[in-house]
Amino acid sequence: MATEARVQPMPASAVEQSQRGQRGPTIGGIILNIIRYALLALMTLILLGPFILAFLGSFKTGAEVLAWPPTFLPSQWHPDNYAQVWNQMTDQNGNSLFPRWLLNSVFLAGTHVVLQLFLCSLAAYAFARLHFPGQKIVLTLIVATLMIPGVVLLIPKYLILNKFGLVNTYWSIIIPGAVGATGIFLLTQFFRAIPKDLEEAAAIDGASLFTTYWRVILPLARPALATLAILEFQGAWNSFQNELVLLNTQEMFPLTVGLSFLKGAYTGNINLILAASMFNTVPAVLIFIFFSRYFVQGSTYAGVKG
Amino acid sequence: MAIQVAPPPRQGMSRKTRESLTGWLFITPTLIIFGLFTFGAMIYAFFISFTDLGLFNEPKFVGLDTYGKVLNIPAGGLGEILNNIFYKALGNTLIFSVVVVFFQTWLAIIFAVILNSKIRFRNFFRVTWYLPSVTASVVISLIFFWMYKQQGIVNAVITWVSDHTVGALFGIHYQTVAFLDDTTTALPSIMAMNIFTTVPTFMVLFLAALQDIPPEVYEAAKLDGATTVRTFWSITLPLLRPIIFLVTVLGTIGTLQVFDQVYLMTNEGGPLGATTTVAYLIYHQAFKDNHLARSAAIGFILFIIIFLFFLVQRRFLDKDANA
Repeated sequence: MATEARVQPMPASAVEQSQRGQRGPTIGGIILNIIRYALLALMTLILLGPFILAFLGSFKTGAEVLAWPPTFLPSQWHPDNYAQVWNQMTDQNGNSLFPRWLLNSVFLAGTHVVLQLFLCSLAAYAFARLHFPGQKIVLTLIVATLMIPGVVLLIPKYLILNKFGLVNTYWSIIIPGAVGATGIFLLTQFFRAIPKDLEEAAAIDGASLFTTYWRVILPLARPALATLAILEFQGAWNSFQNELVLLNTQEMFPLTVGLSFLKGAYTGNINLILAASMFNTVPAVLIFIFFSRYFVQGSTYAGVKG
Repeated sequence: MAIQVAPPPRQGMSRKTRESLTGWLFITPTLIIFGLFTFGAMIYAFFISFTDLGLFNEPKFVGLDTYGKVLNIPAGGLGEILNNIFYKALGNTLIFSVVVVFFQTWLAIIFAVILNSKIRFRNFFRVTWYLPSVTASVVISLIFFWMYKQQGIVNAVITWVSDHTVGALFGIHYQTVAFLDDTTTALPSIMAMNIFTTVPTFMVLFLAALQDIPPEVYEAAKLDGATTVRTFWSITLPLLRPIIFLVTVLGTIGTLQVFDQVYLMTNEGGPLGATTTVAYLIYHQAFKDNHLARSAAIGFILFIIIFLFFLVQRRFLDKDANA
């Protein structure tokens, strides 16, 4: 039957196909759908489960969080875990360390985003819109650095910053991270796609190149800048290895390094570690929920990289 | 007031020269930072790897001696080489990378295809699945460190499932395991966690690519009587090839550098070096053992390995490169 349909002229087989499509769901189709939704539900459970459990665990006592068999809801809710995390760790002067870590994270991520947006867009404008000798090779070299593993640069970066006396200062994080290959690449691609007419109009009006960049190009590039800002904030907010190596004293820690420090300090109190983790997770999740559009856009831009 | 039509020509400098100068001026901050902390650092690391630099001594040029020490070029036969922590770390890293990249890529494709088909609540799944990707590796490591404990949820789930299946049928009882303290389960546990966090990220890339495939292609396949499985192998996969290449490269670069998870979940890459990765070794050699030169040498070896992986993947997956 199937072979016969293939030999027959096109319209007949098409009619047969469309009829088959209208016949409604088959038993096989229903089973396939059940399997499909079961798989989706299981995957959702696996992906979200750890976060739900960690959130609930952050309200349990240190004993309950390690009870066997594990409990789901806390037998008694302990919001005071959060107060304990906030206040308990102090420096020699009695100042709370945890709020300081949170502030360090906000400050480092904030400056990182502002500098990246400015310096990457400035360089991208030069690469995409201006003509100067050597621009091609410089851009190629910069994009090629995406291949260099960050961990390889860790030791020399530490030594160079140490020579300038910058280790254990905010500068050691801010300066090397002020510009990045991903941002330059993403914005160069975006700027190239902007039509030239507006710039030409600006040039005729006597605008300088910087004015053109600042007043014409940047406003047009808002979606790309927003995407880069979100991606870079996320990266800086979650960054760990770099800070672990370059910031050595407790009052300099960002939250991620602080959390790793707490893991050593609160060995018997996983509930407190979980509560502390929420201070990192909740802002990240909120930003994601509000700006999820840009995350997807960002990963699509990243796809252009290949 | 007269309307100025053209900019007043500046004296002594053509438009072209001015544009060139501005171009270089605009990329100057970038050049300084990349020059110092990427290119400069790379060259610096290369020089350090030929010295005996430690945290407290003045460096002395030692030729290939540091590399010899790292690679443990035969002093006492093969047995000693296998005991060498560098080879242990290299083995762990390669296994980690191959297994994680394989699963993360395939699972990402499969889930992207499922999410791309006509299903309800598609956006709900898409958003919720992405959450692990936006969470800090530090936080995920701490949560899994807890879940992998002997009294943790992973053991509880396995116990429940086995009690209701093989346990009920054959009376076999599952013995709980402290996953991260056992040399056989420690590394696979971290691999599973890593797959968990990376699948959604890559799934989004595949999903974007799938939506670029024109529906007519599938309609034509359907008219020709192609089955779902056949359509997947003969149409979807070949069209996804550029993204598969990208995901494999990104995944390989990422997994060959795995550090945060090892640092946070294990006791210095233990038990007995079972979770020591090359990236962890680089950190440990430099900042715990004060062997900066050895650390730089290991870093260079890792760089070469990553580059070789890239070339191999390009050979097999990138169509344009083969043309």
